Amino acid sequence: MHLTLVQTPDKTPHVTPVTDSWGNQVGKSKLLERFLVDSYKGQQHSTYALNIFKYSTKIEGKNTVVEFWDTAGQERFNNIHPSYFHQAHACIMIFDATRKITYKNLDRWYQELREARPAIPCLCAVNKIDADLNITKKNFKFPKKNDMPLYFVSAADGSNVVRLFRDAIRLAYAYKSGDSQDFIDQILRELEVREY
Amino acid sequence: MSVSTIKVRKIGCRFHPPALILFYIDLKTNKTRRRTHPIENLSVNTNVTDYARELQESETNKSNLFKFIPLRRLERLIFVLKNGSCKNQPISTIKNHLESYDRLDLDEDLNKLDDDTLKHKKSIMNELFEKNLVTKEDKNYKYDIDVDFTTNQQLQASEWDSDNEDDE
Repeated sequence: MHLTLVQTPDKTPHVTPVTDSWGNQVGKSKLLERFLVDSYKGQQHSTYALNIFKYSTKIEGKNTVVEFWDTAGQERFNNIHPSYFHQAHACIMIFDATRKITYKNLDRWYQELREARPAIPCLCAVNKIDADLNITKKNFKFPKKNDMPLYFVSAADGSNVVRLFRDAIRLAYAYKSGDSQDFIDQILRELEVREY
Repeated sequence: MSVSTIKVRKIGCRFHPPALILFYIDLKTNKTRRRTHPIENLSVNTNVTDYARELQESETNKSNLFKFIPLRRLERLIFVLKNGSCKNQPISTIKNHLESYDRLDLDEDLNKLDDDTLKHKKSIMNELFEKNLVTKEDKNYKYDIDVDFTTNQQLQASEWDSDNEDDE
């Protein structure tokens, strides 16, 4: 899955970050549902092969609306339309703890993302740890070589889901506010040290 | 009719004309009963999972017995019916197809499957999800759950990285 925060065209104090998500049937929509809980329901309208979810929160004292974009299966056609990444502010790349192929595919998705969005902050998460807890004893090259923090999450039992999305929002906000890459790197390093 | 008043014994299907046949015990009278449910509008283009879900959720029939049948089971039956009744495949062929249809191959790239098969694989994965699911209605539910897996343990390199196809 990948999660992106997208810029609002207007100058209102609220951000409209969009988290869009990718995947190879790794449970990205279920993660989003776990994070949004009640507000997930009733928001599902599929247009342009994606679902958009709005989430209101406070960042640094400011009311902010975050948009999450979730693909409606277009990743199955082997590529994602570049407009999907357009104006994204952050991205979560997700793989499935039970299926190696989803991990192997991350490189390709990541390349596509970087062609469209060379500098947005990225986070990595492995879902379904409830199905294979052993995975939490492993470390992975992909997040390491691309400087992403790795999260061990479960949409089923809820482990680290809220943490993942909150950190993603925080990074997206920093990027949107035009904070320097140094600052974003600093947050990323800090998250990496904690590594959930 | 509620779960407590019937007990499903077995379920099967008939190709011509297509129908699902359900045997169950009516616990009030302790009698075994048979329900034959004609399967209509099934074609080679029917999506098996959607069809099975509709059967399960149908409200038109007040005593809808299909709601007692796991979705995956209904999907298997509709899959068999579609291949047997609409495509006229011989039983042996259907058996082979059914086996790969109903098996979750962890090395398979699900993005490459057709819609029908993908939806079924998702149902299979969903069984595990439902099994481990903690919802708001559960007593031990907490919204924000932080688990730090890295303390007090040495991380090992994942074997998923050890393939030679990987760069470096």
